[in-house]
Amino acid sequence: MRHKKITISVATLALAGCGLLAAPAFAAGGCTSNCSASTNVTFALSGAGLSISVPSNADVDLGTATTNVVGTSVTGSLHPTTVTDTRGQVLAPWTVTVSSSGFTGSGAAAGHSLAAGNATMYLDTVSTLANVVALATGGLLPTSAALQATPVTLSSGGATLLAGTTTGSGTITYTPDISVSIPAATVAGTYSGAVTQTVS
Amino acid sequence: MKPAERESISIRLLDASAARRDDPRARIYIDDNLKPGATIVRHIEVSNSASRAVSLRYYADAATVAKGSFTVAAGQTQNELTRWMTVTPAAGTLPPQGHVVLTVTIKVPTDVQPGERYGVVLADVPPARPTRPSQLAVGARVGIRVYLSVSRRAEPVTDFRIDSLTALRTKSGQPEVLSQVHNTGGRAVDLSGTLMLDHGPGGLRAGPYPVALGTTLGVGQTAPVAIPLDRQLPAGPWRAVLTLASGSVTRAAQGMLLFPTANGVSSPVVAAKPLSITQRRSIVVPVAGGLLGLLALAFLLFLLLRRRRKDDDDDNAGNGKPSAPTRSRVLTASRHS
Repeated sequence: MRHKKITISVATLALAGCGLLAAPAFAAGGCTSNCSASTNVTFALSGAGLSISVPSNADVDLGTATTNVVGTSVTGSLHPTTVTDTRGQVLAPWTVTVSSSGFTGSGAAAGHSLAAGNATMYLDTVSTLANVVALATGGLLPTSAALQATPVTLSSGGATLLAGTTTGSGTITYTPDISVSIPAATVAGTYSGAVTQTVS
Repeated sequence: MKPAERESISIRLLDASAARRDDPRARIYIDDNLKPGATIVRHIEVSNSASRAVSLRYYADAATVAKGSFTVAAGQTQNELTRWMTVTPAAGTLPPQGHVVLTVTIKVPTDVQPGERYGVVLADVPPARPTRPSQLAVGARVGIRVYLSVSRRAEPVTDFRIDSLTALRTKSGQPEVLSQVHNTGGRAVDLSGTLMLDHGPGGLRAGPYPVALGTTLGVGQTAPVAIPLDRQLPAGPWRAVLTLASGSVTRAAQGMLLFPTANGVSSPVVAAKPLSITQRRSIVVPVAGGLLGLLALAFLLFLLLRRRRKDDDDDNAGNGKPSAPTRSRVLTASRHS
C-alpha cells in the first residue's frame, strides 16, 4: 500500500517538474497600446539551437568551359556543409534553401551576366546522418551513401535543396554540387557569382 | 584555403508567448497571432562555435510558403512582414565561442488586412570575396522562422484534412504512399507524422514509416505528402493509417491500399476516411484497459481496507484491544460458547 502511494506521488512530482522547466522569465516591453496581453507575456525557452557549419573561404572554382553552338556547362562540388539541430524537440522540421543572385561577367564579358536560373544544385554525398530524416527533391536520403538527388534550379527567390526533420538532436553533413549551364550565345569571359545556403 | 577551418553559426529562440506554452512550433519559431496595432518583442541568441572570429549581419528576410515548402528569399528581400520588423544589432563580429542576443521587434500597423505572413530572422555569414574572379563564393545563413497571423478577433484555428491516399511504386521500384493534405484552417501547418500498415497479407503489420518531411502548407493550400516505404514490402492489400501533426493539432485517416507491381505506376487514388484520434483503438484500448484495471485495483484495495477496518472495529468492540487474526478466531469461538 505505502509503496503504491509513494510511486504515485513521485510520478506527480516528475510531471510538476516538467511544468516548472518553462517558468515565465521575460516580460518583454515595447507594447504601447492596443496590444493583446497574451502575446506580451513570454516565457524563456531552454535547449540549444539550429546551426550551420561551412568551411571558411569556401570558394569553388568551376573551371573553364569553351562555348559552342549547343551550349555547355560547368560543374563543381561545394565543400561539405553540416547542419546540426539541437533544438530538442520530439520532431523539429528544418529546410535548407539555396539561392543565387546570378553570375556577372568581368574582363572580356564585362557588362554581361548569366541569370541564376542557369545554375542547378543537387546533393552529391551525405557523409553523416544522425537522428535526422532528410528529403531532397529526388527522395529520402539514405545514410552515408553517395547519391545524386534531383537538381533544383537556383533563383533569386530561393529553392529548397533539402528538407529534414530531427528527432531530439541530430546532424547531417552533405556535399552539394553546382552545375552552371552556359548557353550558346554567352559572351566569352570570366563570370563570378555567389550562392547562399540558408537553414531555418 | 584550409578546409579544416570552418564557420559554425548557431541560432536559437530565447522566449515565446506564454499563451503558446503547449505549442511545439512556438518553441522553435516566432509563431504568434497579433491584433492590428500590436507590438511584440522577442529575443534570439546567435553563437559562434568556431575557433575564429566571424563577421555577421542580422536582418529579417522575406519567406513564402508554396508547393509544400517554407522557402527563404535570397538576400535581404522585403515583404509586408519584414517592413514591420526591426532586428538589433544589424551587424557585428562574434569572437570565437562568443554569442550575441538579438532583439526582434514586430510592430503591426493598425490598418492591415487580417491574414498570415512569413519571414525569417537571419544570421548571415556573407560570401567571402573570391581570391580569383572565376571563383564561386559560398555564403551561409541560419535563421528563425516567423509565422505571424494578424486577426482582429481570436486566433484563427489550426486545422488540416487528409484528403486521399495513393499507393505507387517509384521508377526505381520503391513503394511509396502519397497523401493529399489540405490546410483547412487559418494558420500555416508544418506537417510531420507516421504511416502504419496493418491487416496486410497473412495479417502482417508494417511501420511506422516517417512522413517525408519539411512539408509546410499555407492557408487553403493543398499539397502531397510522401511516405517512402521499404522495398521488401509485399504489395498488399494493406490498411494504411496515416497520422499527421502540426504543433498540437493531430489528424488521422485510413484507406485500403494495394501497391502496383510495375515500377513507375500508381494505383487508383483512395479517398481517405478520417479517423478521430479517440477512435484509434491501438491507443484507446490499452489506455482505457489500463485505467479500468487501475480503477478495479483501487476498488478492491478499498474493499479490502474497509473490511479489515471493520474487522478491527468489531474486534475492538468485542474486547477493547487490538487483535491479531488468530486471536480474533479464538475470541469468536469463545463468544459462541
